[in-house]
Amino acid sequence: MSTFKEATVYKVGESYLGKDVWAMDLMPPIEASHWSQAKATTLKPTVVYSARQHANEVSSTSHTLKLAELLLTDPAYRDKLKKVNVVFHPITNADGAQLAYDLQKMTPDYMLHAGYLSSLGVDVTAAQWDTDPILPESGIRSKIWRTWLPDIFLNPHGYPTHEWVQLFSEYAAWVRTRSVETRDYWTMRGWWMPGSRGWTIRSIRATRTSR
Amino acid sequence: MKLLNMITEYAKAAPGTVALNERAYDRYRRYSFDFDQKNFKLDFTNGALIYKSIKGARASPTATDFMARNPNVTIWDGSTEAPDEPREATG
Repeated sequence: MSTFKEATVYKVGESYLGKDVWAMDLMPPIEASHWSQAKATTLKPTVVYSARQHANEVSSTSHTLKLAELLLTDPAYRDKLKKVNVVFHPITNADGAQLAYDLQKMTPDYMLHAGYLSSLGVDVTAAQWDTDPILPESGIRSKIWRTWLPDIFLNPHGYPTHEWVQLFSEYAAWVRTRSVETRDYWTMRGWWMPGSRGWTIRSIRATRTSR
Repeated sequence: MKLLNMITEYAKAAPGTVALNERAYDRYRRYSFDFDQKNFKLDFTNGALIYKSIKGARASPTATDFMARNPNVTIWDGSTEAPDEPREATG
């Protein structure tokens, strides 16, 4: 995709085990010798797709890259880049992705849940706002956020749909935390959204209160 | 809500998504919602299952998600779930 003039592909960081982590900005081609990131994100809204937090959820990367492909190759989609900056961060958990890939060679029909977490066994975003996280990849999302100050931040996930999670297997979130918003599904739910957080009157009030 | 309306409109326009969702939602209803309506929610927005923050989000400088931490910058923070395998492999 880096061959398209609308795409700027760059290394945005490294994982704990030393893997490169990549990101890609899509915008109409820039002819100027100098360019302002601040103006780019002020004059147009910016949306970030930060995928594959849980690295065994492979469709997360697949469908975000498919969108990137459409934005670069389909004239109707490409035209949307005049109205919005689009940033892709296709693999947040590069070490987990490598582990899941290696495991699927041996057990392609398994959920490969070992790849879900980081190489240290915690969620890769657990310390994403720390100034010096143990996992260097933990800080990449916040780095992208600080760089672009995006209007919308999306966190696409996938889930293995061929295998039902057993009710009391200790994998289901409800058993551990009584939280139903996360991975309580022992049967698939098609396409769905476990979290949608947007501005409301209440949140605006809270913002004013917090100032 | 305008954003969610746009998102669900496009999701439902994707080939096969509606049929996949109807089958999956029906199965989820049978094995979760009908079993425990308190803990297993079926919150639909235009026919798509979306768990929203019903009471809104409280802004906090220590929040982990991007919108709640910086609501003056990021107006929407969302996560999605999509099946990893094609429809015929979903059992």
